[in-house]
This record gives sequence, C-alpha cells and structure tokens, in this order.
Amino acid sequence: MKKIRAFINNSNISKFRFYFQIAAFVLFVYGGYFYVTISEKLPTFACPFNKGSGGTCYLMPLQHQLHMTWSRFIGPGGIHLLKGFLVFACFGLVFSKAWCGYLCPLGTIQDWITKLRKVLHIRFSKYGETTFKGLKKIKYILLFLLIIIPLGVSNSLLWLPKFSHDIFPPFCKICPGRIVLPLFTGDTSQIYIDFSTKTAMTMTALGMIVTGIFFTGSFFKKRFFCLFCPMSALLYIFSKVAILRLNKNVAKCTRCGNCYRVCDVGIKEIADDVINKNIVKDDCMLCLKCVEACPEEGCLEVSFFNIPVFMSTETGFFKRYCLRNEIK
Amino acid sequence: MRLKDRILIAIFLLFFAEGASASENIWLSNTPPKKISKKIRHGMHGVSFIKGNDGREKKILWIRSGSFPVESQYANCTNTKNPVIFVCSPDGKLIKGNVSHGLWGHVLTFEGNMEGFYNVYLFERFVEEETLNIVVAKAEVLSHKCSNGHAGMRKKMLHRTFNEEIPFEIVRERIPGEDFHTFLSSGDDVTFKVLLKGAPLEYSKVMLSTQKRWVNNLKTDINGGAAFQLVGDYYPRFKEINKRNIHNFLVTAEYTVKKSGSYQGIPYERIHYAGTLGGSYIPSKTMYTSYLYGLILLIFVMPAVATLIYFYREHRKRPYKEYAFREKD
Repeated sequence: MKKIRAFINNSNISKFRFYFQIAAFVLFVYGGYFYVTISEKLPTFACPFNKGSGGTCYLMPLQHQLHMTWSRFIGPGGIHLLKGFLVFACFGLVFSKAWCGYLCPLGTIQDWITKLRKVLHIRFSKYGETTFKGLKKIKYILLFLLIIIPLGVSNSLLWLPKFSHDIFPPFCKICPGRIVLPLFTGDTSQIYIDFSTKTAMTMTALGMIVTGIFFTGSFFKKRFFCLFCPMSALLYIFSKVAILRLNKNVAKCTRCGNCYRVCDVGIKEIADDVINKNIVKDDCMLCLKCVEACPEEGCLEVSFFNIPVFMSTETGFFKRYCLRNEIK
Repeated sequence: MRLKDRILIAIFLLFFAEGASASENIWLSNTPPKKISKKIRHGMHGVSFIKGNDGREKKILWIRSGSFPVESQYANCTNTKNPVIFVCSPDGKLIKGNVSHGLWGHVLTFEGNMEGFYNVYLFERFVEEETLNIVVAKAEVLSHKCSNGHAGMRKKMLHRTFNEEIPFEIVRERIPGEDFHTFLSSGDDVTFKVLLKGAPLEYSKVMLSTQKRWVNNLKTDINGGAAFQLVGDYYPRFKEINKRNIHNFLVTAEYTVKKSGSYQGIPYERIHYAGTLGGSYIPSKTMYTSYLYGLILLIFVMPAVATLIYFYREHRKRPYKEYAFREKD
C-alpha cells in the first residue's frame, strides 16, 4: 500500500490530466454520436448546441427552467427546477471544481491554446492583484444575469416591461462554447449574426466578440475564460462541503510561493492563506498543479471522502520539477 | 352589398359549400379563426390550448375542410355525424378526445400535459357513390415545456403508428438532428411516408400545399415516401422580417383500390383512402442571419485584442537601467 501511495504522490499528475482531458473531451464533444448522454445537468461545458455532445451543460437547462411565470414556480416547474439543481448539486458535491480542471472541454481547449503559445515561445500574461480581484467579480455578475434575465423574459420585473425573447438564453448567446465546440464536429452554423431584431443582433454580435476575445485571451493568459465563468461561481457553492477537497497543512507551509507561481488562474490566496484548511477558492479548478509544485512533505493534500489520494512530497517535487528544471 | 347579391351568395353557400365538405379534405389545424385568435394561448410549435374553468389545460385543434391552409373553412364539416376520435398520449395510452361545436368553433379537444407527441386522429368511414371512403385526418401535437426537462427526448421523437386502429396515415419523417425545439423552416427537405395498414404504400398521390397556394404533387416511391422541399412562402421587406412567423402547410394523400364489399349494409365497389396531415414552418435562418458578417467580426476581434495586448505590454516595459553596488557601501 505504501508503495502505491508513494508511486501516486511522486507521479506526474499533469501528464495524467492531459490524457484524462482528451478522454473527457472526446466524451463530451463526440459522445452524442455514440448515443452517450451522461446527464442534462452537467457542471461542465458540454454544449447542447454541439450535435455530438455527450451531455448538457447545466447552465442551459437552468436558464430554460427559470424561463417561466411566477405561478409555475409553485407547480411542476418549480419541482423540475429543484430536481435539476439537486442533480447538479450531486455532481458538484462529488467532484467539486475538478469538473473545471479535468472535464471541461472549453478548459481543455484553453490548455491546448496555452501549449501552442509555449511552442511558439511567446511570453504569457498575468494579472496584477487589483486587476485580478476586479475581474473575478465578472463571473458573479454573469451568474446573476443568467438567472435574472430568463425570469424577466417570462415575468415583469419591478413593473418593467418583459425582456425580448431574442435575449434568451442570455448566457448561451454570449458563451464561446456555443461557437467553439460545434467547430470540432465540423459545424460552423453557430458563427452568424442575426439581423432580425436589434436585440438578436446585439446578442449574436456579442457572442462573436466574446469568442474572438476567448481565442486571443487564452493564447496570452492561461485559463483566460475560467476567471469569468459563471459555472465556476455556481460550483463554488459546493466546494466547501464537497467530497473532493484540497487541504493545506498550514504548519508545514513555508510560503515559498511555488503554488502561486504554477497556478494557471493565478490565485494568490493559495500561498497566502494560513488560516483555512480547505483551500479551494472560487477561481480554483482543482488541476492540482499546486500540489505537484509544493516541495513540503504533506503540506498540500487532495482527499476524497477524507481519504488522502494525492499529496505533496519532497521526492515528487524533485522528480517533477528540479530534475527537469522547469518551473514555468 | 346589395340584397340581391347577398341572396345569391347565400344560395351559392347553401348548395355548393355544404356539398363541398364531402369531397374536400378534412384536416386538423392548430390555427384558430381570426375572431377568437386573441383568446387562444400558444405553446411550443404554435400548439393551441385553452384553460378550462377547472384550471386544466386543454389542447385544441380546429376541424377544417379544404385543400389550402388559409382558405379552408372552419365549419361543421365532418362527413359523418359521429367520427371516431383517436388520441394517443406520449406514453402510449389512449385518452379521451372530444369533438364539439361551441364558443371556439368546431373543434377537437383533449387534455394532457405529458412531455412528447400526442397522436391525434379523426377517422371516418362512409359509403358514397359505390365507394367506401376512409378518411383519416391526423395531427401530431407536441407538448413540451423546457422547464419540465428533456429526459428521454430522443426516444420520444420516434414515430408511432397504429396499424390496427388507423388503416391509412401520413407520417412526416424527422429531419436529421430534430428534437422538441426544432422548427421546420423554408428550404428544408421533408419526407412524408404514406402507410396502408402499417406498410409503406407505393404510387399513392401526395400533395403538399402551402399558405400561399403553392402546390406540389408527387407519387410515393417504393418506400412509401414523397420528398418535398418546403418553399419560401414569405418575402417581406428586410426590416420587416419576423423570424417567428409561422406558416402552415397541408399534406394530403389519396389511394383508391378496387375491392367490393359492403359497409353497414351498403355495397361498395372500391375503397378510397384519403389522409391529411397539417404542419407548420418558419422562415429560413438564411433570410435574416449572416455567416459572413459573423466570421468577419470574429476574425477582426482576434488580432484587435492581440494588438491591444501587445501595446499594453510595450507600455509596461521599463527602460533598461543599470545599477551598480559597491560592496564597501
């Protein structure tokens, strides 16, 4: 048992993650062609606009289920909304933010774009602390809007007129996943601007602009879109009570800052936080690069059902980084 | 209008319009007459429903007679007094359907909120001029609310036929990738299959007519199929395009076979099968969307953002400065 544990702790989890992401990408982007439908409440961008999708991203049904009159909330519509959220919660409670780091096809595409940048030897960007703190709020604003707009399409909010149906589903209209993921099945039908109404034109043009920013942003900044992703904000609800956790043994931390340096999103608290044990933050995607880069024995630890499954070790650190001399 | 003209029109309607109902096609439509259209609520794919006094929703179909969607009459136009109503719910159970004539016109109503397609048939059998007429008016009524979820949607899209109860029917084959949210649109190729006692029927005459009286006649192939392309029936000015403008079409199929026998004691020499199926479609997406503009915008944004990042980086660069430290200091 000790040998197996040592093997896992000293292994290169990034390599494992790379192949795991490919498998998940195939499943979520092409699974539909093999009649695979995992769930309609997935906490990952398995886009239903992609005909080959092996499931459905929860944000789509959530927006649809919120698109109903107030009276339906106390009826079957409310029950379905609750049922949907419970299914989503189950997924979130088990794998927490690992959905983002290991399973999200849009995240995988961003990682591939990062690899391309590395090959081209172009320097990556990092946000300053103030910019980071400001930008991370965008995902909560998007989450709020994707909840409030469908309600406003079916109901009058604050005695205002109902929103145009052309704005619906608001997040999907601007989500780069809607445009990018179908491209992998040869479907370019989502690249368009709808000129039928002003709202439709604005929303579809915004979708194109966001997709353009997504491509360029991901090229210069690792996991660029994850900082703005409302799914990440939604999953954060469960990360404190989830079965899969990232724990920090504060007593062993020397604040060397390796964990912050390797973090794709750029979370500083992971190095600075010396109070909390569970250190999964709202922007964290549980890629576990921080655990790999930590040189302190047992300082960072991943647990599943409180059973440690992967932890930082000195040997692992030297094997992974120092021997290859590549902390990037 | 002069009194003389009114009398002439009344005489014409009395003799011709009433008589026409027997030879015209009977079909089920979800479009209400104009005078009550504001009182009707519409669900997915323009399905009409009303709420009863008990708060229950009732799906509603108008029984119409004619060969063209717009001109068809809303009248008491069934050929027999008591047509058979056959309604099958998405879970395969037979449910009660009612034909009534009242506030909403001559309608067929049924209750049901189950997710999926309700197969509705109005079935008549009568002998006229030594011919046994078998008339089947069919409608596929979709009941779907996204807030109810989409579990098992693919399965619910499959066709169901009722060979024993319904001897003749038209089946619209689903277009690739069709689901509850798919609307047929102009330009789509749609295949209609004609089935006689569940088996594909060859050489049956199939006619598709659209709202603006565009008509196409075909004969079914060996698989019982007749493929039509839904023509663009809607040409407004660009600024006035309504992408949700629902246009109706009507498909009719006929087949006559020489077979003698008797029905309710009346002898006949041949059997004439007539089936109808109504449907609707919306304007093609190509009318109001542009792939080119989308692509141009997407391609323009990428280098624009890259240029901004480049200049931002250049702006942040500090000029090289050399610092010298003396160990003595």
